[in-house]
Amino acid sequence: MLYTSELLETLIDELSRLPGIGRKTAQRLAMYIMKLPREEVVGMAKALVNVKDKVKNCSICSNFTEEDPCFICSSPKRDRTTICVVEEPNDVIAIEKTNDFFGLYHVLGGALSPLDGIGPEDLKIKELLQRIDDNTLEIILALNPNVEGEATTLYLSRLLKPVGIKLTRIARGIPIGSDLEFADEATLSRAIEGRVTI
Amino acid sequence: MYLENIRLKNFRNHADTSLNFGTKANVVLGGNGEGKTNLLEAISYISLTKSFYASSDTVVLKINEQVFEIEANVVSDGGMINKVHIGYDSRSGEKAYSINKRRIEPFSSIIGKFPLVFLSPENADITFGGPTDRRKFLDIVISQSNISYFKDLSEYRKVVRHRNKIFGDAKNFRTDTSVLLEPWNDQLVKYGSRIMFKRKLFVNEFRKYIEESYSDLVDVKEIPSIAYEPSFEINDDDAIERISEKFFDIIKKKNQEELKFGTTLIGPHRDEINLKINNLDLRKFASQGQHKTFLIALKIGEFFYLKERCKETPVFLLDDVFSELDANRALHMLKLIESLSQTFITSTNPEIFDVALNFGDTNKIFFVKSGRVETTQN
Ligand SMILES: Nc1ncnc2c1ncn2[C@@H]1O[C@H](COP(=O)(O)OP(=O)(O)O)[C@@H](O)[C@H]1O
Ligand SMILES: [Mg+2]
Ligand SMILES: [Zn+2]
Repeated sequence: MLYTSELLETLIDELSRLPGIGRKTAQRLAMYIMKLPREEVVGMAKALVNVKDKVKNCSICSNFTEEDPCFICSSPKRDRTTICVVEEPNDVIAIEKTNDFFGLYHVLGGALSPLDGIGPEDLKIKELLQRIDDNTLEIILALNPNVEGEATTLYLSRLLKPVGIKLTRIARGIPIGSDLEFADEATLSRAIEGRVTI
Repeated sequence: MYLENIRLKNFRNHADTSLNFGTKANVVLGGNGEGKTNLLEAISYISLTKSFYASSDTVVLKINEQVFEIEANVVSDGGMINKVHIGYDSRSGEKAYSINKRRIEPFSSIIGKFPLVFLSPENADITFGGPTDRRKFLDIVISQSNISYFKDLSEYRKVVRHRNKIFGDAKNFRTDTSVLLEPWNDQLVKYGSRIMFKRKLFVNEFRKYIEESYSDLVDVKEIPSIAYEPSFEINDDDAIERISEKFFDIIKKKNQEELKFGTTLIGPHRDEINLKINNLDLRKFASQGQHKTFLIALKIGEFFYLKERCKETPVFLLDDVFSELDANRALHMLKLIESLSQTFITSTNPEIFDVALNFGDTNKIFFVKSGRVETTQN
């Protein structure tokens, strides 16, 4: 449907370009924004521009940052011998929340996916190889448990084996707090596949 | 298991339908296009979280509505009552499945809990159609009895698509694929070998189920058989590891050919399942009647197989099959299936049912008109 205001129409157009937002949702969002107090809308607009102007990728690990290198890469407290390789900046946040990992990260910017036209040269793999030096003792591959993540893990492990450092991958298994008997068979069989010696 | 009742809101042409079912035969009558199959489709949501016609959730949502709901009390063989609720909201695109108010996630974890056997005229493709139709039959049965098979299958399909894309790109851009292919070869073999192993095992076990149900259906001495013919040769006693080795060998050998054709030529997506009667290929030699009997034998075999594997009696859905059968065969089958489990039977023709079944508490009859259902008074 066409609105009487061209400006409103433009906003709807812009919003509907966002991933996962269809025309209908964009219309609802636009109506919502219309009803907000002016300060809130200005705050929102500023946040958008600020992100674009001030947030960049860390030149070492490719994570989002305002300072380059990022606070993790430049922190003297982090263990520089271990690099955890992840797909997206969100994964860094998830692992940081655990408070159990004190090493460095490397954000690939995705996973191998021929169907989406994503090959090795589209990921920060060259950058990963360049980072590895005498200080590096272990690389942890923490990619998503799907065929794309798995393909990336397999690709990277072939690439990194000749380098001769310790290579590990995170285990996949039963979520904490769920009973073994309720775990579906596939999760269980993966957990068995990824079992560790004790 | 059996369904005690069902309630549909805005599902297909059912705006609001509430039914109490009989524990054995439930005959759903009505003219064409009134909403009989839609009712069976809703039952398939309870078992499989989706339609057996693989249409999307938006397709089954009643036109001009935003939310559909399916509610049912499913009583397990052990007597437990499972209050199943399924809701779909087209505005958020979200679907939720819960049992006794507990959200079930992922959906795949429900598969096999409420097993279901479905027979419709389209199933004739299993015996008449190509290998794809037979693989589909196999996949539905094995998936219901083995969730990890279902997962392996969906991962395998993704791997094949990625792999084919690499071949396609190689053809178009003449890139070197060897390094790119390796991670996908590994996964093709990993998932493919598991699928092949489970199909082999299944066919070997399923053979006796078909033989038994077939001999229950016909008086003449005919021996039906089923054989697994994978896209490359494996032995009956090959373990998964041995199948993997052979699989790796063969993709190495076929590499040039795959590059040339730009697609994955080897693997379980190219399997065939051979059906025979007295050692003669069904597709080439069987009569129409033999085809029908074989199909019904497959479905009754599926019923007993799932009953044993899932430790739960499946419900039987028969969509429009009785108009296709001659009166004798229909009567025979009706008696047989009615004795097995709760059954849902749709038909446009009421005649045979009055002869074959006593309607009351265990056997019920429903009349559907424009998405509204009426029950006869008992
Ligand atoms: N999403 C939908 N919303 C409303 N009506 C629908 C929807 N999908 C199908 N129908 C209607 O359902 C009817 C078909 O129902 P169906 O159960 O297949 O019939 P039958 O009784 O022959 O098995 C048709 O009239 C069709 O228009
Ligand atoms: Mg129908
Ligand atoms: Zn950094």
